[in-house]
Amino acid sequence: MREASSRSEDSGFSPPRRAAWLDKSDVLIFLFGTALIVCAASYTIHRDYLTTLNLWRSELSAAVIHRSWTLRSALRQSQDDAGLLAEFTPTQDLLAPQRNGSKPTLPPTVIQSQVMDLFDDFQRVYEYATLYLYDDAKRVVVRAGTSANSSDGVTQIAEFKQTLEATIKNGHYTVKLVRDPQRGLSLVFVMPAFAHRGKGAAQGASPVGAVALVDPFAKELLPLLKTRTPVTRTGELALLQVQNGDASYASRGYESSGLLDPFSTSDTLRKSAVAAVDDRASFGQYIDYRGIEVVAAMQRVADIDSVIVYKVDKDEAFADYRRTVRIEISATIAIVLAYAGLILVFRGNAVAREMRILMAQKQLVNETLESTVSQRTSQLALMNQQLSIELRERERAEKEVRELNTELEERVRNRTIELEATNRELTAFAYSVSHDLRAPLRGIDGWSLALLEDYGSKLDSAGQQYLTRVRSETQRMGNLIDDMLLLSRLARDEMHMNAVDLSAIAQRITVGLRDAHPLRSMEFNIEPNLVINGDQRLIEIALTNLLSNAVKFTSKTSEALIEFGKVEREVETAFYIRDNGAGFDMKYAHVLFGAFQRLHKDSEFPGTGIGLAIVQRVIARHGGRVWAEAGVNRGATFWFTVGVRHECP
Amino acid sequence: MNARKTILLIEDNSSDVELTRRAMSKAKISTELVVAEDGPKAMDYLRGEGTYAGRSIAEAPSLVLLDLKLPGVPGLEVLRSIRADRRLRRIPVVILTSSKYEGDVSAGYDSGANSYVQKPVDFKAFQFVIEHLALYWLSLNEPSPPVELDSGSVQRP
Repeated sequence: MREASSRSEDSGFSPPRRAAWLDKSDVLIFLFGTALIVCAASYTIHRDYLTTLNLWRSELSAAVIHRSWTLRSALRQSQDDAGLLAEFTPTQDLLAPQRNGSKPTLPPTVIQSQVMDLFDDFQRVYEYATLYLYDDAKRVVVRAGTSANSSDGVTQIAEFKQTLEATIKNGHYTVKLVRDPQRGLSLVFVMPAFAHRGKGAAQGASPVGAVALVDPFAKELLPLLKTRTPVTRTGELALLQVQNGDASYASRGYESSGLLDPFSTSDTLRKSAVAAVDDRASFGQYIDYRGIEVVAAMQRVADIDSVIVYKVDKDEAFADYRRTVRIEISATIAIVLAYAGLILVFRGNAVAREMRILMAQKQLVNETLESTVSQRTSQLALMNQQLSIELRERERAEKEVRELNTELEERVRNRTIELEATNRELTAFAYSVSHDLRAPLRGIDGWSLALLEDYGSKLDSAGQQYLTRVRSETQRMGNLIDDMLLLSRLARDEMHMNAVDLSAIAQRITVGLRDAHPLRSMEFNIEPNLVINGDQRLIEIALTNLLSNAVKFTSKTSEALIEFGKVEREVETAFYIRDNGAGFDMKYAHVLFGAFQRLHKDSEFPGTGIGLAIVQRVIARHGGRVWAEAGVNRGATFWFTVGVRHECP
Repeated sequence: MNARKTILLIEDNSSDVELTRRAMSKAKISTELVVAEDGPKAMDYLRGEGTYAGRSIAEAPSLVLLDLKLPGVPGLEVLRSIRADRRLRRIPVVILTSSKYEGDVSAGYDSGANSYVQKPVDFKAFQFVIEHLALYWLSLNEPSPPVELDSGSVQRP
């Protein structure tokens, strides 16, 4: 056990749980063993019980049998006394004077005196309370004893009278235990007297009288019962008189009142005594008049319909037994515990053996595991090596990428700076162009006009016409410069995004267009509430260009119809401006939005060729795209979208 | 104050200068037009220094027409010099230039221009502009009273 546990600590092996320690079979073995031990103990205890009981049976039975004999011999003694008095010749002479066919030789007074003397002697020597001699008419012939001068109380009792009458009638000796209201319990011995000696009732003779001896129970029997009481603490001898199917204690409380107390109804001793009076002896456990369990032996005293009982309290009787039982139970428990301990120790040894086996198995598993682990470790090490090589490769590659990125960023930054510089230069250029080119144009125009005004009279109409042409070309050049400047600015200016009402803007532009072309018949059909998110100023430039274009290219159409609306498509909203004007050939559609691209002769539709380039620049800056559908003389539709990129500023 | 009014035109382009004179004469504006080809000359004139030494500073022009594109000192610098000089700062300056560039317009007003007018290419339109500028600044506009000067103190920017 200890070895196993210490070893398990060393190896970090967790010991098996307690449940595994004691399995079902262990418990069964324990229960079986315990049952055997308990059976053995129970048997021993039972045997002890029987032994104790038998011990008391012999002890108590011997006592009651002895008392019974003592009592019976005492009673026989009195019977012999009564017999002697009855067969005394003077007594016979006195009761039957003519028994021999002649008168007695002595006179009756002398005979009576002789009988009286004998009775007095018996009373004095044997200490009877009273002695009576009755004739066959139940008259008192002789009386002796303490109450010689007065009638004895016993003779007045019905029971006594019945006994006396029965004896005189049938000639049988009777002894009776009667209750005397004056003296308490008394023994009454009634002996029939016959005329001739040896000729009793058995010979068919009739009694001529009877001798009755009255002896107080306390004087005659109690001392007998009380002699040689066994040495017990609670032992008690009692005489129970059985009468009319019930038994009453004749001995108890006798000394004081001579009357018997009412007894406990649970007194099984009395009931048993009723049964015992017909039997020879009895032994058992009962409940006595106190309601206490007792062990008692009984012996009948047939002559006086009584039972002698010797009882001992069960507490005392079984005191030794109970002590023994306690010791035996303690011993049994100790044995059971020892047995359990034995099983545990045995099982522990078994567990230790099992543990050793397990440890060995574990050792094996460990070794296997270790070899597996070392194999796996070397594989992992190899993989690690490869991984670290890969990692280094990757780091190197990443470093390169980073360097390239840095370089790229540097280049982008430089390029941006360059571009910004270029932009600035372009702006400066555009500004310069705007200023520097316009100045000579103004000069050309101014001096042309001066020429016309000052020297117009010296020129013919053709010369004047030429100067006018110079002036109009100058004007066109001025417009070109303005548009170019605008175009360059569209790419550069900061945007201010807001909700822009396209419909309202278009409406405003058309008002201006109608004013510019008062003679034209034009119908504008503008869908309301076309709102986008955009830069108001730029959108206005784009719409102005598109609508101006539409107006321009319908200039040869009698009933111009220009529509502005939208079509909801899957991912975007496409706006369109449609006209029923000259249109164009779709094969030139790809150059339509380039700067200075013109599809028509200037004489037909004048323009700088920058308008659609401006539109495209504006739409592109809104993240949208612009395209056209047209046919020659079938009108044109310009589409544009405004991308989601600028939906939310 | 001298009753004779003058307009100072700061302009390097001789063609423009001549066209301006022609436009003025066409519009029958008799006001004297003084021309300075660059910034320093304009400032000399205004302050009565250099070639214009002895000219009284009190004889300030009724209007200065300023081209932004000047050789050497840019037009906006000239404007700032005028506005920085206590004696000159109330003179009306109208920027008259070919550029309609928004940055120029903003900078012009920020530097203290009273007005900004683009020179049209069309001469008739140009003549219209000159005529109206003269009408407004020389007739309608109430000129500032002369600046009270301390004894001979001259502030230089």
